[in-house]
Amino acid sequence: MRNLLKHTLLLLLCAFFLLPFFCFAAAAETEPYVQWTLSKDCQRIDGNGKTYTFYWDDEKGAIAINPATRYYFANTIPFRPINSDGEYVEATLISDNQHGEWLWVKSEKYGNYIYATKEGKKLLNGLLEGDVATYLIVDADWNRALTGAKTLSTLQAHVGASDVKKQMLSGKSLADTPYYFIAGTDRTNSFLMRFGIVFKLTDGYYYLDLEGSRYGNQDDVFETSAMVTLYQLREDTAASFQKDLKGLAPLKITFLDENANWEDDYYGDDEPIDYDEMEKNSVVAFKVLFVIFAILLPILPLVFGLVLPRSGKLKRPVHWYALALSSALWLLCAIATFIAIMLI
Amino acid sequence: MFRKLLKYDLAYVWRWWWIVAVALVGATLLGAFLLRGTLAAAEELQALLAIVCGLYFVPYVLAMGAGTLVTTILLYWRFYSHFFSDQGYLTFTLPVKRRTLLLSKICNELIWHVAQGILLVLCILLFFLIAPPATAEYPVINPMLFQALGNVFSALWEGFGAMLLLYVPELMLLLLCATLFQICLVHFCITVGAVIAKKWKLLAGIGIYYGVNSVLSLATQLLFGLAGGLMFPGLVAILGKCTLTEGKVLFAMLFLLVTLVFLTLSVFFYCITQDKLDHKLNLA
Amino acid sequence: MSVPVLSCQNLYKSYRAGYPVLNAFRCELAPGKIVGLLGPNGCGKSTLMKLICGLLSPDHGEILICGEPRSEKTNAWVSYLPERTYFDSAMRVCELLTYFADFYEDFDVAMARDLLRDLGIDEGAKLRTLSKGTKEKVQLVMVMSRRARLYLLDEPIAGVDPAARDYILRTIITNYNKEATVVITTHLIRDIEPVLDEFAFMSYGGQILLSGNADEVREREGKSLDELFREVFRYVP
Repeated sequence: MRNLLKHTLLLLLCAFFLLPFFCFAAAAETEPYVQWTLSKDCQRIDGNGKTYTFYWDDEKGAIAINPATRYYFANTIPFRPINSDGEYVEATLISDNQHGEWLWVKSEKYGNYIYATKEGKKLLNGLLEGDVATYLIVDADWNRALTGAKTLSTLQAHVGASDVKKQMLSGKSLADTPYYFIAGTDRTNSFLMRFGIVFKLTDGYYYLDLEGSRYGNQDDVFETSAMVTLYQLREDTAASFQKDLKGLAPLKITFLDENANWEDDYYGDDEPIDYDEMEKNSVVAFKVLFVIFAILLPILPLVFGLVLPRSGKLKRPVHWYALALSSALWLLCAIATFIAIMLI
Repeated sequence: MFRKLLKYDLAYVWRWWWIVAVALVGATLLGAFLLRGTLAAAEELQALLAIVCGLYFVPYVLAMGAGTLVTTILLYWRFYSHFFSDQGYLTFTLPVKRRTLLLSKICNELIWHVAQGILLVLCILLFFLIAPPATAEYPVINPMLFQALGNVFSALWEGFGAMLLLYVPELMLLLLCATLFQICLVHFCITVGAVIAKKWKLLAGIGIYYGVNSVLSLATQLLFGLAGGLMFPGLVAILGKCTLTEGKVLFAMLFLLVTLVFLTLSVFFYCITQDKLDHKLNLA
Repeated sequence: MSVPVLSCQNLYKSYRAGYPVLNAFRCELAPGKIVGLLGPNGCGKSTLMKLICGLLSPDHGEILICGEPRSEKTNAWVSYLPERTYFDSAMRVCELLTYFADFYEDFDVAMARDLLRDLGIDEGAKLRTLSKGTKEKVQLVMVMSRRARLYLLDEPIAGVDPAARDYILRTIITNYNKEATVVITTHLIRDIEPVLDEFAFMSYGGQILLSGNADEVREREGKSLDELFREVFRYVP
């Protein structure tokens, strides 16, 4: 136990001191005209102080990148896909302005490719495996409302349910229907993954699941003539969803000129939802409650266990020391966990 | 003296438990062969055999639950009868410390709870070992269970890495402490019931158990409601900030913390039970 | 002067506040006597025995057995026969013998076997198959086969037929450890009187109304203990 605590604290201390360097290194390039180099085998792109290796041929544009945080580099790069003998074309490079761990290489001829650093690949892989930090409802205009994992699981529970009405419609017929897709972002708030779409039809809200393909693209749905199955939301789910829609806030996307740096996104005339503030409050709440329930609570049995066997009037046998011992262990573990949390 | 007491306690339960174990294993084997036969049978017979299977498996599953219930009842009946019925006259006049008497009961119950758990797992493993039909490649035992278990283990290893070697014993310890907590709670309730009530001692114990459980459930629900609403987003945010390794270590520490909470609660109820036996015994 | 085998000082025990079963009870018993603790129902005889065995805890007072405070250590010196059957009826007689031998170092297995044989009890028989009387005899055999220092027999002859009573009393007399003290509680005084060395008449609240050497008192009063008992307790409600 002691060794584990020692190693944990050492590890956390290292992480704590290394983190600033990591962040500095990850900061987006503020200078325009970053020099990019594509390796001969097209597996690697160097530039912006990083090395990006090939991750994904994002032909369908399945991974959505947060328009609020994406950063268009002013210059282009001569590009061709890996294992290709084709000609080099000019490709635009888009990254995330806060972390810059991946590159979205767009070209008209060859489509979209994603290159990423090791950390970027971890993020993308994490998102694939369900490491969703924030769940969002996003409408066609990129207005966003915060929601939770429970909303998604409730919607997904409608799929195949025998007590809900279902409709089969062609994808193309849904193109003009008001829709909201249920998405999730990774913890850096740069990738957006779409899990399903809620349509507002004449007789209520219907859910279309993007069938486990976390990189499902709504464009696929709207361009296909194939029939897709939509499930009507139950009354309480629809009511809850409508309530969530009230939180939709408009998002303005700023496109950058050649010499400009990135600008903060803003939400029209409304006060922006400060997700950082919300996160900070929830962390503080967690820490306070952790102190109360995990650290202060065991003090009571610890005191009882120590005092009772010695107290003259209430003298109890020595097995009460066992209570003191287990409470002490609880307290120590809680303190160690709290220190670890504080160091993160 | 502890070993002698434990010997007699184990023997008492074993007298009945082996019948339960043999019955469950036998029922499992029968069900497995029935399913295997159904899957391998000709198409015309399959529908009929499927009905037979369905009719068999409902009581089978109920029997598994009943087996666990029987074991539990045996254990707590042993505790009650040995301490608070007429047998208590013999038990408490033995030249054995009260602490030893109680500890032997706790050990006995822990052992049989673990045994019952192992029995259930064994039945499930046996079932999945025998039920899959033979193939050309595997004419006797179809190893799909082992393959599935291997895949699960590989996936877990891939996800958790070397931390799995810490998580598994932690999980075992957590389960053990949770079982210990239940045992100590039941002992507490039976003891308090027997001490308070002149007649209907067991009924009083059951009533107290329901009462204590209701209070604990309410407190847990309140705590989880609070925790869920206020603590969980914070925990998610913290986990979102840490690296994978830090997250794994944090999980391990939280696991250990929960284990220690169960342990402390167990010791608390044990101490009160011990005190009641020492000072408030009332074998009238 | 030898240490008293039992010494009770200011024992107080009540089941209900304000209604003590034993109130400032005191006694001292010398070793090597058969003592009759005689009194009406509910006067605290069984309560006293349970306190000595540790089945009950006194509210106040002290109990010393062979000079030691009552504890699990003194349980090894005390052989207690309650008025009810106290063994697991699922056990066999032979298992009970092993059980007693395991926990009591002073248990004489050979003597127990002899006594059971005399009673014609099959060692392989399950206890639940025996009659009530036979179970009580088995219980008595177990208790008297111990070489204890203090035997506490709570109503050993209540609820059994006269022939069985004679057998029980004979068993007690012939098999107990002669250096030990036997305390017998009963309200069937006529049957028990012949075996008693000493006696005490106990009233409600643990009050001792009369006590002493049985022979001396019989000679002095010119009455049997049974007649004396009826006289003393005539006015006791």
